[in-house]
Amino acid sequence: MRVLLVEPDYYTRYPPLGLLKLASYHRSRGSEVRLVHGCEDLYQFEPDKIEVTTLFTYAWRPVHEAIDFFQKKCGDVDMRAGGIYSSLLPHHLKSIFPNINVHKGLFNEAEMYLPAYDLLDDSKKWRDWDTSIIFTSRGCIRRCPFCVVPRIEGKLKTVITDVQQYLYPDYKKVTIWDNNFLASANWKKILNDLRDIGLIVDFNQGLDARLIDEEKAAMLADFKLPMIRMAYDTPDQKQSIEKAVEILSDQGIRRRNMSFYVLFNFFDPKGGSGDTPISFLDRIRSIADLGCVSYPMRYEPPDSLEKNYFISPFWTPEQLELVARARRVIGFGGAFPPYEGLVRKFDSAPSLEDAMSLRSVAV
Amino acid sequence: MAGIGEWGQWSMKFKNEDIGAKILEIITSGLYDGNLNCLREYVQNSIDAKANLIEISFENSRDVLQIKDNGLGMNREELERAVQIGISEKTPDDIGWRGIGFWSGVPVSKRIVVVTKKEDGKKLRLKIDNDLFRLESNSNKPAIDVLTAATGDIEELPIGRDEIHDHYSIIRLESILRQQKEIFKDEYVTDYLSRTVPVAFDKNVFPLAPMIDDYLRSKKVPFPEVEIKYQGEQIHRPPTKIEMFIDRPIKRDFTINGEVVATSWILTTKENLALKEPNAGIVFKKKGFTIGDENLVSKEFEGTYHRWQFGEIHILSGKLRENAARNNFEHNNEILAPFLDQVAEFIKELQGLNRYLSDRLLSGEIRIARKAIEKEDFSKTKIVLKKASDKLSRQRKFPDDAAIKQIKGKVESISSQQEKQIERIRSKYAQATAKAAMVSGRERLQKTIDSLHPSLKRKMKGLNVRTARNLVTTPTDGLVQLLRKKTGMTSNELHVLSCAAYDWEVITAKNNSKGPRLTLMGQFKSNEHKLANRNRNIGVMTYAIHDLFVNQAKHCKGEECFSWYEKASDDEKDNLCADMLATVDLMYRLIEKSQSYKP
Repeated sequence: MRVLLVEPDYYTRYPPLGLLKLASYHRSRGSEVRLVHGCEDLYQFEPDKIEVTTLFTYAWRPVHEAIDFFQKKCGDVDMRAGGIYSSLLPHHLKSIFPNINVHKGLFNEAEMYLPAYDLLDDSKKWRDWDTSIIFTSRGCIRRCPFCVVPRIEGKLKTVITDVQQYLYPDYKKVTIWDNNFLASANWKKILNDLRDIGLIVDFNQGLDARLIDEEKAAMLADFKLPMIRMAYDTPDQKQSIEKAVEILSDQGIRRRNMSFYVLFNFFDPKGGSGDTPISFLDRIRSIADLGCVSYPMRYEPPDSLEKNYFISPFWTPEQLELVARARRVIGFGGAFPPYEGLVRKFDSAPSLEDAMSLRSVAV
Repeated sequence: MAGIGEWGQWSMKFKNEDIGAKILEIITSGLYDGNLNCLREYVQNSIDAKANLIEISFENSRDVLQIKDNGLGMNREELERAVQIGISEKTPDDIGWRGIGFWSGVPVSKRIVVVTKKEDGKKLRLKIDNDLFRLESNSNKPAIDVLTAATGDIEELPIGRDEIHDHYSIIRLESILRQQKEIFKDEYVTDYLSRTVPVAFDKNVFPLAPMIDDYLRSKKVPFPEVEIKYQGEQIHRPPTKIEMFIDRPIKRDFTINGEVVATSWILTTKENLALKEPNAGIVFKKKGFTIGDENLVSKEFEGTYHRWQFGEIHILSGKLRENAARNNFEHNNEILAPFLDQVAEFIKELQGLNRYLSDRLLSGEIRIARKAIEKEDFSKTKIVLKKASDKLSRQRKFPDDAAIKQIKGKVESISSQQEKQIERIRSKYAQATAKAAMVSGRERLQKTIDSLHPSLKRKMKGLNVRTARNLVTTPTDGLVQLLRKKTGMTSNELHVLSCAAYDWEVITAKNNSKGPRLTLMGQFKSNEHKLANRNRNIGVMTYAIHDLFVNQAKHCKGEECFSWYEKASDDEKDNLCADMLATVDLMYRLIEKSQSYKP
C-alpha cells in the first residue's frame, strides 16, 4: 500500500502532527507513506489511499484546492479527510466532494505512535523543525462555551505517561500541547521526567491559572520558560489570576514573563451573554496593573468560514479594528507588555477608545 | 493436579496454571547473549521462508527497526504457528527450527508487528504488546494467559493495487526502547550482520571470493543465496581487505567414519603480526550462519593464541547441531567430540605453521628496519637486522599436515622475497652508517674546537676544522707558554725535565735512533679491532703530551712517525684531531688551575 498524506497550503506555524502520527500508523501496517505540502507533484508515487488534514474552518479554501488537485490527479483513489474543519463542518466539505470520507474527532488508533518526524526532513516547509510535540492528555476538565476542545476531544483523558518514548531523539526542544496540562493526572511525573531529560520545554496551549499552586509553581520555575502563558477569559477569574501571579512570582518567575490570553468579541447565543469592550478593558487593565503581559484573542466561532467576520452584538466593527490596530502599533508582537506608559495609559483611559487610541498619553 | 498412577504412585500432570509466565522471560531475554541477536533470528526466519532479499532498516530516527523479506509470506494458519513457542513446522534442516525466534524482539521494543502476505493471498497483521509481555512475564500468572493478553488478533489489511501478487513478511520492532538504542548503532549492526548472517563476499575487495565460493559449492556446503541490505547498503562478509594475507587458502576437510562432516578454508597472514577485526579469527558456520564467535575455535589453541589466521569452518553434517542460543554446539551427540578433536589437531598444525612462519617471514623486521633507517636510528636497525639473520639461521620444520602443505610453495617464495628485501636493507644500512660516521667525526672535531678553553683557543689563530687537520696548527704552543709562565722554566729546562721523567736520553723522530720508546702499531683501518683502536687512542694521547714539550721536528712531512696520520682517512683524522685537541684542552685547564711550581 502507498499512502499519500496531504497538508493543505494554509498558514500555520506547526507541522501537521496528526498526519505524522497517521504516517507511523500506516507504516506499522507495512505501507509506504509520502507527505506533501499543498498541491505538490508526486513524481512516481501512485497512492492507494490519500489522507488529507484540515485546520481551522475559515482555512477551508486551501483544503478544497488540495482535494480537488489530488482527486483530478489520482482519480478515484480512496480519500479521507480529518482534522478540525472536517470534524466541525463535514457537510460543508461533502457538499463539494461527495465521495470523500470524513473522519470526525481523534483517530485513537494512531495516538500511540511516535509521529513520523523523519518525513519533515524531506519537506521544504518543515525541514528546520526541531521540536517534539506531545499530547500527554486529550480533552479538558472545563466546559468553556467559547472553546471547541470539548466538542472534538471530550472529557480529559490520559494519552501517554512515558514521555521519553515520544521524544524525537534528533530534537532538543519539546512542546506540550495538552489543552489543560495542569489538570492531567500525570502532570507531576511528566514534569519530573522532562526536567531529568533536560530539554527546552514549552507549554504551548497555556496553563490553567486556576490550578496553579505552590508545588506546581515551584516545578514550573525550574524550567526557565521564556513565557508562562495563561488565560483571563471572564471577569470572574480575577481572584484566581491575581493569586496565580503572586504564587508564580514568589517562586522567582518574573511578572513580565507571565502572559494572559484575553478573550474578546465572544458572544454565546444560548445565554445571550458575552464580553464587552468595558469588561475587556478591565481585564487588560488588571493584567497591566499586575505587571504582566496581555495577549488579546479575538473570538472566532469554531465553524466560521471567514476569519474576522463574526462581530459580537456587544462590539462594533470600529472597536474591533481599534483593538487590532492598537495591538500592531502600541503593542509588541500583538501583545500589550507592561510598559510603564502603556500601564498608565490603560489606567487613565475612561473608555476603550481612549485606551486603544494611538495617541501618546497626556502627562 | 495429581492422581494415582499405574504403580500406585502419585503421578504429576501439568495444567495451564502450572506453567507460570516467568518461563517466558527465559525465552525472551535469557536465551540470547546480546540483543542484536534478534536480527539473526528474523533473518533466519526470512531465509527459511525462501527469501532472497532481506532489507533491514531503521525508521523515524531509530524508533522502528524493520526487517522486510520477499519470502513466501504466511497465511492465517502459518502466522498463528509462527508465534507458537517451542513448536516449529520446520525440521532441523531449516535454520531456525525451535519456534522461538519470533519472540526475540521482545526485550528491545514496545511492540512486535508482523505484516505478511502470500502470493495472491490476504495481507495479514499481528501485533504483540511487549510492554504487557514484560510486565506480566514477571508475574505468577499462567504463561498462556500472558501470551494471550499480549498477542492481538490477526487483522486483515487492505491490499494496494500493485501488491496483489507480492509475497513478503515484514517484522517491525516498534518503539525501540531508549536504553536499547545505543546497541543499534549503524556500525554495530553492520558489523554484527556481516559476521553472523549468510552474506556473500565483496568481490571487489576479495579477489579470492570466486575461488572460495567454487570450493564451498564443490563441497556441497549449504549456503543460502540471499542479499541482505541494511539501510539500503548491501552487507558483505569479511574479509574487508586482503593485502596482509598469503593469497592461497588452506583447505581442509574434517572426516568422521568416512563422512565429511565439515570443511574449511583458512587464510594466513604474511606479516607475522596479529590480524585485526573483522579480518581475524576462525569461525564455525552452519548454513551460512556463524555459530558463536572466533573464541569457539581459538579456545582449541594451546598456549599463546596467535591471531594469524582468518577463515571459516563450514559444518556439513546435520548431526552437528548448534544450541538454542547458537553460541555453541549441542553436546548430546557422538560425533561432536571426535570432530572437535580434529579441529584441535588442525589448530595444533596451524600453530606449527605459525612457528615456522615466525622464523621464515621477515615482514615485521623489514617494516621496523625500514622505519629505523628512515629515522637514522642505526642501533635499532642493527638489532633488527641481527634478529632477522638469527631467525633465518634457525632450523624449523614445515608442518607435515597435508592441507597446510598446500601453501608451502607460497610461503617459501614469500620468504625468499623477504630475505632479499632484508639484504637490500642491510646494504643500505652499511652505506648509511659509513656516511653517518663521516659526518660524526667532523662534527666531533667542530664541537671540540667550540668547547676549547678561550685563552687556549685565542693562541691558536685561525683554528677551524680544516686547519686543525693540518698538524702544523699545533695546540701545544699555548700549553708550553702556560707551563713556562707557571714554573718560570725555559723551554730547554722543560725539555731536560721531560727526558728525565721518561728516562729518555735524547728525543728524536728518527727510527734508527734510541728513543723515543713510543711506537704506534699497525695500519688505521675503519674496521680495525676495538683493542687496537683503544691502543691507538692512548698512543695518540701519549704522543700528544710528549709532543707538548719536546718534539721539535714533528712538522717535517714524510717523517716515519707521522706516516700513520698521513694514511688515515678524513674521518679518522677528524677523530684523532678531536682527541688531541680535547687532551690538550684538558691539560691546559689542569695546569691553569694548578699552583705555581718552583723546583
